[in-house]
Amino acid sequence: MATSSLTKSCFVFKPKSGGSSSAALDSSQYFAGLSDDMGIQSAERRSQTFNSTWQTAEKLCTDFQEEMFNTVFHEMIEYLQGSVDIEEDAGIPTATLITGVNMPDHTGVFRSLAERLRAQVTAHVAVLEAASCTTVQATVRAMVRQLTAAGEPLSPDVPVVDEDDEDDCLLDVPDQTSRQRRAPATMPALVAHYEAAQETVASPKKRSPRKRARTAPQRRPLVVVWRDLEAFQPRVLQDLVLICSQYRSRLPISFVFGVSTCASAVHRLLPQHVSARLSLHKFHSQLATHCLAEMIDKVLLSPSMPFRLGGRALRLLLDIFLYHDFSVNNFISAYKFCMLSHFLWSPASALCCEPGQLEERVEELTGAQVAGLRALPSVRAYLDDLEQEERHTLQHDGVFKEWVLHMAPKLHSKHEELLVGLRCLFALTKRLPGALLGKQFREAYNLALLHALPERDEYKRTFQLLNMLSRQELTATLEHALEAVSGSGSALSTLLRTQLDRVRALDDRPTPVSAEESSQQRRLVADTLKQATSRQSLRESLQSMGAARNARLNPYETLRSALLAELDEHLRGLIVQPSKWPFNECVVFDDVSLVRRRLVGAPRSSVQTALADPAKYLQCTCCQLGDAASIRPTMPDLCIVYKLHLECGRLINLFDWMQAFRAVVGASDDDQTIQARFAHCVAELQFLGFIKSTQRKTDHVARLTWGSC
Amino acid sequence: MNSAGRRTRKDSGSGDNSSRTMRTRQDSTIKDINGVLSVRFLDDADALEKICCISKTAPKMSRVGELLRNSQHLISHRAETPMSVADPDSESEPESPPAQPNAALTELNSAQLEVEDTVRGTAVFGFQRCHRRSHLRRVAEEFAQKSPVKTSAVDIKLPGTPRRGCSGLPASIGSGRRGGRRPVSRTVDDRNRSRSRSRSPPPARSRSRSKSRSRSRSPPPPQRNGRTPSTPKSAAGRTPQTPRGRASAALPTKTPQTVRRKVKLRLSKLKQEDIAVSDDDDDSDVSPLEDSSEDEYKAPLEEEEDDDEESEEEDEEGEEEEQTSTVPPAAVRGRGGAPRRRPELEPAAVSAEDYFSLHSAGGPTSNHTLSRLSEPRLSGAALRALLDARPTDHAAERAALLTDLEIMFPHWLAAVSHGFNILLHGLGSKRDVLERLRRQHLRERLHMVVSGYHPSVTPRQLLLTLLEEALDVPAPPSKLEAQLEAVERRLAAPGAPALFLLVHSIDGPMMRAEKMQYVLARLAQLPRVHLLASADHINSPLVWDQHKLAQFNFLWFDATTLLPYTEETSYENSLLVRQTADLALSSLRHVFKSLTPNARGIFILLAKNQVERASDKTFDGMPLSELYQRCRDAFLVSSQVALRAQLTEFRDHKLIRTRQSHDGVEQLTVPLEAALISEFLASCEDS
Repeated sequence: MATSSLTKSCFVFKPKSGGSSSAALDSSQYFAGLSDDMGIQSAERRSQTFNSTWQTAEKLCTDFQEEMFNTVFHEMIEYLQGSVDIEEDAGIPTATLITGVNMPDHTGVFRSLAERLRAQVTAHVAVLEAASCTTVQATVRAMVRQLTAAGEPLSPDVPVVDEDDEDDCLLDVPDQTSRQRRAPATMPALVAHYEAAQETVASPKKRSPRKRARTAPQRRPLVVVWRDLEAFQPRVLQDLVLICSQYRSRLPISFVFGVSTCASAVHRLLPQHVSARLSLHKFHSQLATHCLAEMIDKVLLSPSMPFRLGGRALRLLLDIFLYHDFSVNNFISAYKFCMLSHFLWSPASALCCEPGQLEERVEELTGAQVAGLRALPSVRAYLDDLEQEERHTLQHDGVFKEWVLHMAPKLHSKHEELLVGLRCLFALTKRLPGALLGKQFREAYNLALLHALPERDEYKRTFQLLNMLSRQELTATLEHALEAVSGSGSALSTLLRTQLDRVRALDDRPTPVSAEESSQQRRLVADTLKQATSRQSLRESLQSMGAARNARLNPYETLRSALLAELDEHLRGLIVQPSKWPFNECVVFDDVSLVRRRLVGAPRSSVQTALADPAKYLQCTCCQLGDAASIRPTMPDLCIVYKLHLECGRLINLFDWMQAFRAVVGASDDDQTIQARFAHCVAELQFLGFIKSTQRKTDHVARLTWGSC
Repeated sequence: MNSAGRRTRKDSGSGDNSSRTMRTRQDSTIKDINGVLSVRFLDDADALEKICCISKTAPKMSRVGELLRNSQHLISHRAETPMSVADPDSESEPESPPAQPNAALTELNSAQLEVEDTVRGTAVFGFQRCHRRSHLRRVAEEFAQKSPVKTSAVDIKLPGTPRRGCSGLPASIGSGRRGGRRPVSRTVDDRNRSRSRSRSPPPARSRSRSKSRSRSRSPPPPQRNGRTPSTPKSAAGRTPQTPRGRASAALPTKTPQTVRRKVKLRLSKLKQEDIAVSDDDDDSDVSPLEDSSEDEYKAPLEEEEDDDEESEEEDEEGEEEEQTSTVPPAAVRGRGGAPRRRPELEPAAVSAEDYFSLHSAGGPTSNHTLSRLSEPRLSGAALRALLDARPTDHAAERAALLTDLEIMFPHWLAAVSHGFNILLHGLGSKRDVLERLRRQHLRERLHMVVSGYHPSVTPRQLLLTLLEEALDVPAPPSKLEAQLEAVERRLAAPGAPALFLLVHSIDGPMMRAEKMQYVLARLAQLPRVHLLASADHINSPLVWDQHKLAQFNFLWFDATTLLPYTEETSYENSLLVRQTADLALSSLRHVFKSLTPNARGIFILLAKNQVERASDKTFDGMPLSELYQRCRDAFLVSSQVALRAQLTEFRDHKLIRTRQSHDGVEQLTVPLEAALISEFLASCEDS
């Protein structure tokens, strides 16, 4: 069946055999389809591992989000629970939830909010979206439908028929004969429904007064959630608020406004006489950056995750987040894609699993896979450093496998070590001026992934600055560091603890300068003063004397430098750049260019590159351009026409353009053909959006782009 | 006064056709500032100097200052505007008077077409501007270093064609100051004429010249000889001699050399200063080196120019074979109104300045129309036939691009199966890619193809097809929102199939509507819906906001195929393709068949009336009362109500159009061309 038709634009194709279409997509075949001979053996394994790894990550994400929402919504739900008792005159109780500009995350926020409200406050919850509420009528209908649908489970068998005739329902008195139809979606109907519902709720309560029913208020509020308030038509919003405030005496309605900009948006949308009917309370959701920091900490750095992002990939993801959308959901999605790419493209990822499963995996390795592992850059670098004999023994597959089994679990422990070291270092730098490692832990982590941190200036400067801290400051800093690493139970925490003890225990008294020493010094000064022949030399000698005296440290200073040297040494052992670990390719994904191309689309640049320099795509020798602006007659027609159009102003004369085209392509074709070729190219350029027809001059087109590339 | 001033200005020009536009612009500018200064009677150099002085005192940003600067550029530019600007007018018109476009066409296609067209093409579309400008820049820098030593000016090279008027020659530079650029190979009397003109401009001639500048210019101006592309390339070889000739020609008008030199130096200094402040025009890049070039520096200049030429020759040698050719920026600006920018700064990067220069420089375009062609607009069928007959270039490479993409199919499907959606972008029709994917991998799966480029695709249609055909919902709801919910419910049910949604041109004309994208985003969000789409328009990302993008969860793939957009553009009203009314006619026939005999009679009556009065320009349609009268006469209707009922039916089928005339009378027309109507009537009579 063809998919081109003059009249039809949508075509449906059904599988011949009915059964297989309902089968879920099995991605392992695609994993295999992409792999070369070597990778194909591990394709299924990798596909499985991806699924399990992603499930772990997903679970961590949802747990984290649950936790976050709990804290965010806690106060608001309390407020809404108490909203029924608020006096009528006070206006409609309204919780304004400032959600922030990370729009893509809001879906999850409001879904979770609605769930929580249903579970904890009332069964009557309506979530309104601006897209479907363009008129007052539609809004009332959507609101009433959702509020009255409370309690009835939304089954797929909800008759579609009655939704069809909603308009009639609204206009006509409901027909007794049509049983199918529900009550009309109007406010009086809502009142009736609510009162009926209250009675049914009340009656069983009398019979069996359960604990929960007692504590719950007598009347359950009706909560209407306005998602993304700014997107609603102000008119609709105002009318709805006024209508609801009219019914306030009979219906305990309360609102939740989702505001993504700032609280004043409510007052911009609602004039005074409307907002006077509301009693507004403001609640803040968590900042997106804060969410991200938590998310990275809980998910990406979780010890239960075998998969790790490389430095450049992480930086890209952070950049997308910070400079593009502030969306944690998008970040997670991008993370998922990185993970998918890792398992999809890297055969070594077969070893990316929990340490417990490693033995089994290593056993499975075939000769080709072992050879592939041996060829990994990090392994090769490691092997090159080994002794000749040792290297030779590792050529044997069995020995190599054992070695893999020995080395691979270290990847995880090394990552843990790195984290501990970094957390300590970050806690140490946090109070130093200049935020050397960044203000967030993720920056420090990213830095450590990208570079060998101990060799960096930031690291050195950190220790220089630490070496200037007073005793109090140092104690505080060490306490912070200890706090940061205390959970890990590593050697570092014990080290820090002992160091703290030493600092605290240090006898504070300055060692008295002996009289002999001071007299000696005085003599020395007198000598230098005599010797000084010029002001210059005097200054120099005084300076050298001062330096000599400074070099003599008091006990605290000695201790401090000793402690820091110890700490430095320890941290250097811990903070090792992951790309130095052998077999890091198994767990670390860092193909940043691939991810960038997939996540950050650049459709325009791809089109323009293809037009300006088709040889880049065609890989042909005939169209190689020395100069970006030149034209070759061998290039595809569209490129020639495009390049010619670049040289024009706003208006392009079609005839002249065609002559120029003819001049370039030469007289190989007859006139009509050239005209046809040209006409087709012009149509294509129009389709691509480079030109459009114009009425300003006969047979001219208007150019829509500017610049000449 | 005003006109006299303009005349002077024109006459001081060389009379070169090519600088016509330049001059008109200059005229208008000068006219603008007429109230401010009286430069009208000065010659170019003096005017320039004066303007420079005034523009220094005038505030730079004021309108006057701007005008001054502009006119300064214009004058100085004109002084160096090369004669050899290949003007399509001047090239083709002498051979083809505008009265006979067909004759012109034959001329165009004659034997010399290759050569001439190359020239013409380069004239309108100066190729390799970057290259040329960078060269100019280089020259300008050289000049700046050893100022006041002159360097070569704009050198024109038209590879594959004979070198025409070498405007870079010092002589022409010298004369350019006085009276515009002259071609090198000119006849003696021509030279004499110009000399005499530059001394005392006779008003009569200027008038005739300005007339000849207008469209109806039949006799080729004498100096055309010098600019004909057939001028032997040896003209360049004659370079050393030419200056002498020019010098002698210019001698009588010369002021003492010392004075000239002083003026020149001052001018060049002024110009240099001006470069520093003027950033709106690239003229300033070119002008200083020419304006300050002087006759007495001929010798070194010649050498330098030779060097330049050689290097240029080497540069372009390779390209000459491919007929790529270059043209001075002036020509480009004059004719094609090309964007004026500073290519030296960032030749590749698009700067915001480009935008303003594009919109401030309303470069005039020529008045050629497509009626010069034998068949201005090909029919769609003819176009397709012609294109199909021609072998495609780079067939192997394009096929290789497609195969490369085929290798990626498993990747796409793997990504899709994990909740991502795929968006293909890049040049070339991606229809084939998605079709191949469909045939290779989706045979056994439920999938739906949406042609986004189709002019009739709507969200409702999409959802209805989806519900009725794909999900087997017998009576889908009529409301969009309800339809969406129905789809969501269906696909959320356990055991529901996975649905692959293949969307060609997700940014097609009809797909850009907010509603459509809303529907697609909602669908794409569903876990069981897998969207694979292609985007073609360069501004397609503007369709989506953050929220929608997150819903779509796209992975972007560069799927450049460089295949022609045949299917996609076939629906579009292309500019160069004749609109066929086959469709309208066939639909008319179908509706007509189902009409009652009386209704047919009414329609035929209306149609005949329209055909009869097709030539009447004032005809706006048939008044309703008149139609009623006639119908009654023909016993077609008995009452106006009956007629109105018929007309309503016509209107519903878009067979007629009603319009209120200014006096409130309803007027009826058949919205088709007269030729089509008569064709239709003829077929009616046959049957």
